[in-house]
Amino acid sequence: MNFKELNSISTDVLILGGGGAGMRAAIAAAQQGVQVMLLTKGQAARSGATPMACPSYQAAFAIEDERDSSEIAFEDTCFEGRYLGDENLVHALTHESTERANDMANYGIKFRKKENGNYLQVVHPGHSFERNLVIVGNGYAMSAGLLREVKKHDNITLAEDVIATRLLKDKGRISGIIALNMCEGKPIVVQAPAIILATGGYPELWRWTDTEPGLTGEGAVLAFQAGADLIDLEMMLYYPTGLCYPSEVEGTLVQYEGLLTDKYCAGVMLNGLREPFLPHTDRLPVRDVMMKLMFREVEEGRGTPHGGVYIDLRQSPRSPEEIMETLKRLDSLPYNQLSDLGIDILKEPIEVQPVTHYTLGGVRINEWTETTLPGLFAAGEVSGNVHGANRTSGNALAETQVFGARAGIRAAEYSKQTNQGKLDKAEINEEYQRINHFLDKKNHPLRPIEAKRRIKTVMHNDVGYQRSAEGLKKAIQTLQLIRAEEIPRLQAASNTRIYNYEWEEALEAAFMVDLGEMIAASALSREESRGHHWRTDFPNMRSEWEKHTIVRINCKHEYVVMDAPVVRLKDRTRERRVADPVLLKAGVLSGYEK
Amino acid sequence: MSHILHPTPRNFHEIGEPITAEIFRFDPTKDSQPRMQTYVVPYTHRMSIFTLLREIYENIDPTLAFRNQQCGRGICGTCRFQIGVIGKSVKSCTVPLEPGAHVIIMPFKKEKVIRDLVIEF
Repeated sequence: MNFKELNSISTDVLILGGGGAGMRAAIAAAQQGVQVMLLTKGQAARSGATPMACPSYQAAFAIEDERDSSEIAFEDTCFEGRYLGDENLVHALTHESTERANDMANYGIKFRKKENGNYLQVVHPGHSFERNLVIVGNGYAMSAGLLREVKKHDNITLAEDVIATRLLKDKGRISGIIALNMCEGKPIVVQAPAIILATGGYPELWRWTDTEPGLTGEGAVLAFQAGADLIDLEMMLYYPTGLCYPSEVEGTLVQYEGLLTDKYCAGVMLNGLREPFLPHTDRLPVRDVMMKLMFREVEEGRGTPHGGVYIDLRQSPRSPEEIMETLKRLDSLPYNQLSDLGIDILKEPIEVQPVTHYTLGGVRINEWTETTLPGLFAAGEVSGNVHGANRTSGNALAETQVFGARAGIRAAEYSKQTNQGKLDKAEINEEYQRINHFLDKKNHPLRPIEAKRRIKTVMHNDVGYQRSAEGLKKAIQTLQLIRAEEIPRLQAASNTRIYNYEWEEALEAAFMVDLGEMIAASALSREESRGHHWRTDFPNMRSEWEKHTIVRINCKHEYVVMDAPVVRLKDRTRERRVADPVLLKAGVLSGYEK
Repeated sequence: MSHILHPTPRNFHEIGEPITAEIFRFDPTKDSQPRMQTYVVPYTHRMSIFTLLREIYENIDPTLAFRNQQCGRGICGTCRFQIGVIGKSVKSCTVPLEPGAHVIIMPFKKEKVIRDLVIEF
């Protein structure tokens, strides 16, 4: 197939990714009257991170506790992000999430209500007051509601099972993309002056994750290759409690906030010796602290048979009926699936361990979601400077709506002022060949899943929750070797073009190896421990490192790692919270004293 | 959840009788009509119907098509198939398989088949 045969499509605003941010962006752009095309890697509202999300949406409505406010939410988010989030972005997030929640309600998405008709708001770690709304039916219902709204707009074209493989440029600005249409089994070109990346993060680069397997991070690599800055790639958030046993539910997220908080299920977390080990604090620790405390138990030989710790609901003062009632109200656990599979969490403790959950780093944006490349916007998990080094519960879904809406509006405005760019036929032919190459017969073929296994093993062993210069350098070398020797050998076992998942996996593996190396290089450059970035050779948080790592492509098409200051709205040398002394004493927050 | 069942190659130790699975196959570019293919899958770990398909894809037949990009926790519904001969549809990641089980897996809606078990929802 060559360029002449393709039916090139064009649109005003092209959105890659059909999760919460992508669909919200589509709605916002469509309301501006432009033509919108929304491409999803899987089935719309059934793939990506949003449908699998917990029900938590952070919005400071201050219904449950009138002392709360957007300003306090802003301070909470800056502090729990270890002061690494850009404050202009945190400000937008915390001050607009209530309005965007109202939009969701207008789309027919329901939030759990109290008997008096007010929204239920629950308190999660890191929130000064009860702040999270509970979405009825979790992220799945939210996705379904957004999709219904998307379908009301005639100027939105939805195309499913399409994987973007390259961004196209014309004279330093965006002109379109190349993508693989899985169901038709052929590459396509879409021409657009404005593109919004809403492709999600890259938790799938690691061994243990609670997310959907399509989250392989091509959005960040596409942006990098086109010349946009990436930021804080080393920051991968570990959610404390993913099931580590039995195998058929490995990685399933159970919400520790609901299961362990005294006010809700009041379960206990125990190590493998059945001893409590969490420090006695007023509130449960946030995620970066939890994951360190839990991993420490396992490392020091006090883990469970499958390498985690226990959550035991049998020791809760609540009755089994009360616990089930709370679970159903808060959707803290996929109880239907677990009970179908014969697992009764009221009768036996469950084994959990921290799993990769949310990508804090990603594409660098400003408060209007503009990347450093004209015409390219990014919203949701793919963006990299919103939360900082840690994220509190409920801010991911809020982020999708706040920045999705901003991206849609700004990209639509931009597209009205900008003509279509030219497409480079040679570049398109070259990319078509690269895509098709994975179906060609090789002398020493390698299954894509083998390359993925290798990459995930490297990331798990040497770029995991704990890193050191030695391991990171080894990881970079190994990933370079995989790129040089294994990626060229990738071949799908079948040469069928129709929904060939091995073909998709080959494309993903090629992105994963590039991204893995840039993550390792970013982690190597950050010589400190902060939030979810934990260096064994630099165990302290260091004030001189209160800045971003930036990855940028140079004229030789290589990456360079630089740094950049955090955007501040306040003087953090003066206005700064201190960590809980009990947690400081627990020994997992070195350098947080100042 | 990552669906890669075996992150590193390992020794297979069967913990029960193998499972026999009859699975619907159809590639519109190669087949004139659908066929059923039988797989005998060693029972090396607890399995749901979905992880059985992953086991086949990873270790027996990489050409079998189903939606791998799936949540694994009973939410997304893209692993919904017709199971058995009675035509009951289930989310396959929520259905455990006993050792020695015999299972027939058909697409959720035959008229919507793209390839094998993949349909457009």
